[in-house]
Amino acid sequence: MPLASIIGQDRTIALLRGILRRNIAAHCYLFSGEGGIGKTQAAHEFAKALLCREIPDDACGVCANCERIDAGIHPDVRTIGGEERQIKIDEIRAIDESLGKKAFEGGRKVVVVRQADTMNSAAANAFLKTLEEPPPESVIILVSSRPELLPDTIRSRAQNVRFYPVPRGEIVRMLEPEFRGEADIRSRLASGRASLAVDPELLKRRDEFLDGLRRAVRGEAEADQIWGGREEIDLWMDQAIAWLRDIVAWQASGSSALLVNADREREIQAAASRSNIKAVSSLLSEIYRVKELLRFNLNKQITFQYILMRLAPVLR
Amino acid sequence: MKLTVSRESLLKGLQVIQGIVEAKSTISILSHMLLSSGENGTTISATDLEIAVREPLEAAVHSTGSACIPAKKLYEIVREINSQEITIEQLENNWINITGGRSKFRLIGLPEKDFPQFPDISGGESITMAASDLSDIINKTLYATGDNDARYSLNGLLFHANPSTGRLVVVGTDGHRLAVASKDLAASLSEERKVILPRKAASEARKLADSTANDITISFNNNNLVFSVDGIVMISRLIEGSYPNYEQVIPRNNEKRMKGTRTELLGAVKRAALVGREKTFTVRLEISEGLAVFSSNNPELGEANEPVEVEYSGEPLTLGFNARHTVDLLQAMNGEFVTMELQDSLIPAIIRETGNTDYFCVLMPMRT
Repeated sequence: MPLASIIGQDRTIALLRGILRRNIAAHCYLFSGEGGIGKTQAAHEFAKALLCREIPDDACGVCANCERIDAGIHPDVRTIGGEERQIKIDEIRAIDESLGKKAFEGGRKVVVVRQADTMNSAAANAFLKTLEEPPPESVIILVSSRPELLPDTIRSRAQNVRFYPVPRGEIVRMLEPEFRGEADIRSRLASGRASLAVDPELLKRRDEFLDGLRRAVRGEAEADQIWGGREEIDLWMDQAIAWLRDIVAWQASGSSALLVNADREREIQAAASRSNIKAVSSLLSEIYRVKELLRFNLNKQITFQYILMRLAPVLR
Repeated sequence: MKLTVSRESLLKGLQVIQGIVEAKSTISILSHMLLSSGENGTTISATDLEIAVREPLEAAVHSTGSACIPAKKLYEIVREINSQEITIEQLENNWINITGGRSKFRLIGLPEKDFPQFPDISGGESITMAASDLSDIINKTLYATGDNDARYSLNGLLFHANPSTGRLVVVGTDGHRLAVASKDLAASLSEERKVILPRKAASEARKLADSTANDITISFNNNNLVFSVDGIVMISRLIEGSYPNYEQVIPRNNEKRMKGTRTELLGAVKRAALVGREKTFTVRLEISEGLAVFSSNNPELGEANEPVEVEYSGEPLTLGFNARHTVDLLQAMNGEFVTMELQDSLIPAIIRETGNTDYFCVLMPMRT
């Protein structure tokens, strides 16, 4: 059963299933929490469960409603957002108009807005009226990993449903059957994001990016050679953050228990002994800040070169 | 599935659904139509998730089945093809063969199971009316509905069937003008029905009514309104919410009556509006005994003055109207004479086809 199969969000899922069981769905929910921990999946399954006629508090996954929602062709379920661009006012107006009509098939109407924080302000404002006085039988699910970027006026109209990073132990348990030897390192690299933990490319990509960073700062490769395009910038930043974090963790605790890149303990140890904790942690907070600034229109390639330059003393 | 149809009947069937299939929908299945033949004969279905249409198609069926075919493309092919008979055959992997004369087309279809389910239309109560009557009442009210209004309920026509008065009343308004048309209910309903039909569906229903001479059946269901005639079934989703209480805005004490020839008034308003201010579109109407003068002035262009002889006896009166709204309603009317019922310059005017009690419009005046 799909809602029940979402990993590590037991309390949240229990809350959602309670809502379904007692048939008391509110008109608007905000699924919030870090990226990659199952919010979008939960929103999709919740939408199915709201319309599934087979099981009262979950989605069966095989009835006509569930199948069509999975295929994205259910007339009363709409999903917008989740693309690498802003959500525009026209899309919101289309949603408003569609919710203003009775359900095509007579049940509920469900709208899922992925990455709701990418609504531009005109779109968000256009949504307010519908969120304030939602038409009967409609449920709007906003999904956001950065709810603080949503206008207060939107947040205050939605019931917040929090999702939390999945505890490492649970990820390990989930990984055990399929990724025997890799379960531990994968659970560390995933940092609570179940969808990342099962990514087959996870380790390979980590190695590629981390080694790329190090080659570039040592002058073994040109920055332009390893730069694969603007959509990679987040991956590079995350890699750099994890590495710096590991160095600080080692310097502070002297133990490998807290490391993300636990399989690279020796290299971390070496880097930790070369630099001081203050310098590394201030560099770390700077990279965090730059990462935050990326949502404004920073030139990604220049940002990347800047990060390389700043990393040089630590990674060399 | 394999069947042979005459080009003419297929073309006619495809024409009916062209207004409904969306050429550039985000959901690709909606630009397709479902052609299916089974025990109940062959049918064509199409939907844009607001309106769904199913119509019968006369065909010689060689083998039964269903296929989703790109509707616009098929229409274009059938229109151009040089043969009286067309054969449509479904192949593996949703490929569709279309042959007629020497032409052969192979189109990529979609799996039949992806096509939206046809809504459940059982159990509603029905009324019947002449197609020309339905076309007429939609025609007389549709122009007054809102377009993309944030108050959703205004973006459609109210169909109010009231068994206690025995009337079907159809209302359109956008808050500035109101049109009310009514007809006798031919059947008795067990309860009062008030539904709001979206604008696009109303316009498709009018097209459907214009295409036939037979009586149309209108069924009221919980979530939809169904129009059926000649085997064609058209279902529309309804607009949620309640319609504003339009009766409140109908003025009660409009005792001044002005009667004029409709086409003369229409022409006068159109001409007077030519030099009007484009943004506000106001025309001024000055009425005195026996004469109505439409005028407009625009500081950048100049003035226009259009006198029309009318029947009027009473105090002289000056009002302002939105020219486009006035033109719309005079165009939608079809009697020879119209009567305006007025009170003073800030009270809405009631406009009727003289002698017709089944139809009237209310027009908000503008300050001149």
